[in-house]
Amino acid sequence: MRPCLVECMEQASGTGAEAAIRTRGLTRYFRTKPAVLDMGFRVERGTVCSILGRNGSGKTTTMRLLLGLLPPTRGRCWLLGEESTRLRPETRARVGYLPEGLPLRPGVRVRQLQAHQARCWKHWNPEVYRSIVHHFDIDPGSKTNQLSRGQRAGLCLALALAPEPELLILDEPTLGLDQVAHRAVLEALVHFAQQRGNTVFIATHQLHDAERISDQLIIMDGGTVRASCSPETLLCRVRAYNLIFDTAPPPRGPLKIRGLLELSRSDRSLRLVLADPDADALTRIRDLGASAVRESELGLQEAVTAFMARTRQSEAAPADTSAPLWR
Amino acid sequence: MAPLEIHITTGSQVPIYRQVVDQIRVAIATGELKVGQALPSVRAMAQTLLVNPNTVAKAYAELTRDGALESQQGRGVFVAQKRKVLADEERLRRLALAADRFVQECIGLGFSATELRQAVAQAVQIIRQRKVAP
Amino acid sequence: MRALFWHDLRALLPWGALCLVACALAMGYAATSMELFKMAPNQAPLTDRTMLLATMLGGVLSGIPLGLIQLVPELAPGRWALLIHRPLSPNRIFWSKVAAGLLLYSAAVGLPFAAVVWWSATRVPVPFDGRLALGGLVNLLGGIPCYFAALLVALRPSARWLGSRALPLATALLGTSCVAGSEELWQALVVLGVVIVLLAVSAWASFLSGIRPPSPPDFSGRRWLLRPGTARPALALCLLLGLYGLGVGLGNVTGDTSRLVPGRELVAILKEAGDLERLKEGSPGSFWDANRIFVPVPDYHAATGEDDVHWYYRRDAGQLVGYDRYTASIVGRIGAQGFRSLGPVRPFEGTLRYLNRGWLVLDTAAYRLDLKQRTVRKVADAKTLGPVRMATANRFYNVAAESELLLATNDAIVVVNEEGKRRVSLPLSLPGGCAGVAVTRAQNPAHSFPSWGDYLAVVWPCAWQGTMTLSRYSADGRSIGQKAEPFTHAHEWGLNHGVIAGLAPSFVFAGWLLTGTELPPRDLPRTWGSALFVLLGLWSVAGGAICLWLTRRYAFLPGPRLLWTVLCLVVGLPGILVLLASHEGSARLPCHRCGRPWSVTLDSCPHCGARPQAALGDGPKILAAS
Repeated sequence: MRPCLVECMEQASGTGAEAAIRTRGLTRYFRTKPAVLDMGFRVERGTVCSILGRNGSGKTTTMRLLLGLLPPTRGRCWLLGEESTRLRPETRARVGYLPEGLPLRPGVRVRQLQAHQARCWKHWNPEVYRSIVHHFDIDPGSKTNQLSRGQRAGLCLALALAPEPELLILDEPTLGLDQVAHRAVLEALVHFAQQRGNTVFIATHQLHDAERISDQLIIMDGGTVRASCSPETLLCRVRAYNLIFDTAPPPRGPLKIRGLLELSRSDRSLRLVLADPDADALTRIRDLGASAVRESELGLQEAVTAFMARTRQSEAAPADTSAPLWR
Repeated sequence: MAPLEIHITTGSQVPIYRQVVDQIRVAIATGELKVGQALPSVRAMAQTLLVNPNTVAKAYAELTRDGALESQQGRGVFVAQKRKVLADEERLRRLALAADRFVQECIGLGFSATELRQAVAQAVQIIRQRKVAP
Repeated sequence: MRALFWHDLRALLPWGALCLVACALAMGYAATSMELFKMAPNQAPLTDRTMLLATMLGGVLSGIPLGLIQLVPELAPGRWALLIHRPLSPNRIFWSKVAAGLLLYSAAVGLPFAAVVWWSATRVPVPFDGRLALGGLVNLLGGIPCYFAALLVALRPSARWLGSRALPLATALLGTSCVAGSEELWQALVVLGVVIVLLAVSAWASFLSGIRPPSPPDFSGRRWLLRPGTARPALALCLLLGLYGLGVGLGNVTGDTSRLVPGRELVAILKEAGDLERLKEGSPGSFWDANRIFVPVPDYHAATGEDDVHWYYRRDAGQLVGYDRYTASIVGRIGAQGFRSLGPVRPFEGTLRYLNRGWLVLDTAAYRLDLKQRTVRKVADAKTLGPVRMATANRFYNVAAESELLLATNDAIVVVNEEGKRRVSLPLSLPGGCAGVAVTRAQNPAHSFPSWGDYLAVVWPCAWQGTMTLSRYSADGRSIGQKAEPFTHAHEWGLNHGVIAGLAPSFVFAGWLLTGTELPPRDLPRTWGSALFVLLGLWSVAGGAICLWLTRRYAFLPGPRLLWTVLCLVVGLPGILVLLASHEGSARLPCHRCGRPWSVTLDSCPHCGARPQAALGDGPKILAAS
């Protein structure tokens, strides 16, 4: 099947301001398994971009490749206009990173950690640090292993935001947080994003957060980009079609319809989820011989899941979600 | 003057900016937002709702384009005088769209056309009551 | 950079302290045990085998944990990001860590060694020469390659097999064993320099490229071995050979241990007989104590054929003790006044200088022994000669075998016969701290002696570094001439030399180029020698060829490929070990068009030019400007 492209990001000729993040053909193999395969995307400055994907789809590897923590097997990526494998210290000072799992040096007091970090970064705004730490109710005298999960998130956020970076990269920041901490993190992110020129790049599988705060969604599956657009665009370009079959049962076997993401069968009906359905696709749908065809919109969750469902089947056929995972 | 309450639902088929637009429209229609009243700034609204400021900006822009709001340089966004901006066809198109959505949602529940009409009348009644109350 | 340095220093401090304590214990033990054990005080404790072993092991066992501990905790997911993502260039991050690690290493091994050196300078009654400390110092430096190897092991990318993960350590241990086995200082320094540079640069490069394992190593049972069926068995073999070389080196250093068992039995018997008072150190019957207190009489059984009685000199009691192995009982004791089968004897006064089956020499007097008759007779006294510094009746140097004893005092070498008559006195002033003296008598003028019966005295330099003095005397003791020559070892080839040469041909080549000595052993016929030389050359070339093949297989860029090939030509197998250790072999997948495998790092198939297949089939995508 040929891909359905409307406007390819990489062919966009408008360069204008340098993009905050840019990749081209990014590939990373771990032995023979590709974690990231031919990824190409672009995040403009001053936007909030969420990258969604299942566990193990390569989000964390992408983050590490972007930050130069891991060299790519093939392809290239640029952070704030500089190649990731050759980031200068001045550029690194403009990027804040919150790694997955909120790692902190164990057994150190919070104020010692803050002092060490403040010494390492040339520019350090103590007001920002203090306000976030206060917001999360962190006692500077406590040790890092005594902090709750929410407080760890707050501390990591404070340490990342105090140098006042231009680009903030977060890897699953709200994982496992309670409601209050979750909200506090989102507030901090929204506040950060409001300042002009600040970019946020967040890897998450919390769709609700992504929908709220993102300008751009990147859906990643199987190590490659499946979709890169705003949430509204995704909603309006992914459509579900319900086909009712009264006389004959629905056809068996894979269906060759352009843009088909997901199909599910039951005795009398067929549900197809399509991306960018065009006239050709609609004709083929009508040719299936259903007695009734109804088009409907999808919620963001279903649209995103439909994109990620592709990898459950082989390359040729779309995902068949007729059989539930459990009986 | 009660503060403006907007509730965002994530995961619905309606994009967030559209939800904001719709709810502000309803608020203007019911009188919750008086003419000439200032709306919260984009930043404040974004902070309150925990949504992307661009989304709020987009909602405000659409409402300003439709004439529901007007923006004054340096002072913010205010509720505009009610004036007819949209063409009749456009209004009718939007009505048809809303009706279609409503009917599709309820048809599966097995209500008859009469029950649907009663439901619509009831909803309008409620809004009218809200408008009257201070 | 400074913040990171201090932070690392503080984090490593407890481990450094642990290493310091361990090194202090090892070196302190070696130093104090030498005082009692060694007969010749001119051999200061610093050059003794046990001290050299202690320094070598101290270096290796301090370097490895410090290197591992500095990096392994940082490799947990997320911690690596905390380390690298800071406004500091990765070079500085690496070198500030290395600076902290090496500083602690120096303190951990250097401070105890400095203490031992100071102690031996003040306690041992010979003038101290700084060169005595060189052997131990070089052994300590041999721990630095192990430190860098440990850094490399920690950075080893995604190695599931623990054996292959430890490959850099094989190189470091090879280097350390070469250093320990080197006879001359410059050899050790060359080996050290090459191995340190190799491992340090590899560790640096690995760190910069951000290679780190995606998951912690698996300790399940099967994964301890090297992966079969690939080039790894060859490397496993080399690792084993390297360890063998190390073992041989260790064996040389620790010395013969076969005589210690009878000593233990003697201790037990003495204890039972109630004859044994408290030994000076340690608990009675332990392995090392018996060796220090009880000095066996060498060569007794081989020469006399008497196998039933073993004789020992007890340092703490100043007497010779004989015991019957078969009945496991004490035969008797020989003291200053003779043999007595029961009861105490008058002890010999003074420090033991030399002991063999015919002679017992102390610094106060020399005695002629007849252990078969169990008699002792004084033949020389220090009151007339002066205090005896060393003595020998070694057959090799003395033509007339055991009937002559050579006593070295401060200003002469006296040759005494068994009646006590002074044969000749060779005026020779021995420098303080000389390593040894040997005297030989001319047998054949063809050996470059002017006439029959002349004496040649050789004084070896301190710590075997520097010049040796050759002094010639006529048969009646007049000095004919004196010459100083630089001390060079006879380059005798043993099995461990062969092992080292086979694994590191460049070290041997460097030695050959710089000293001009002959490579093959002198005993072998000439053709064999040349063949060995050619074999070494081929081995070096093979190393370069293997490297070339490996770099092509894993699609190295031309620049690094050339560099690595040259390196492997020069260094040999250690270079290949380090290449495999520091570069993750990129996967090779079959091309979807032509079916032949090619490295995933390339943009297109080198065989057919096909581009790599796109991810997971082409599916619908939505890519739009937001």
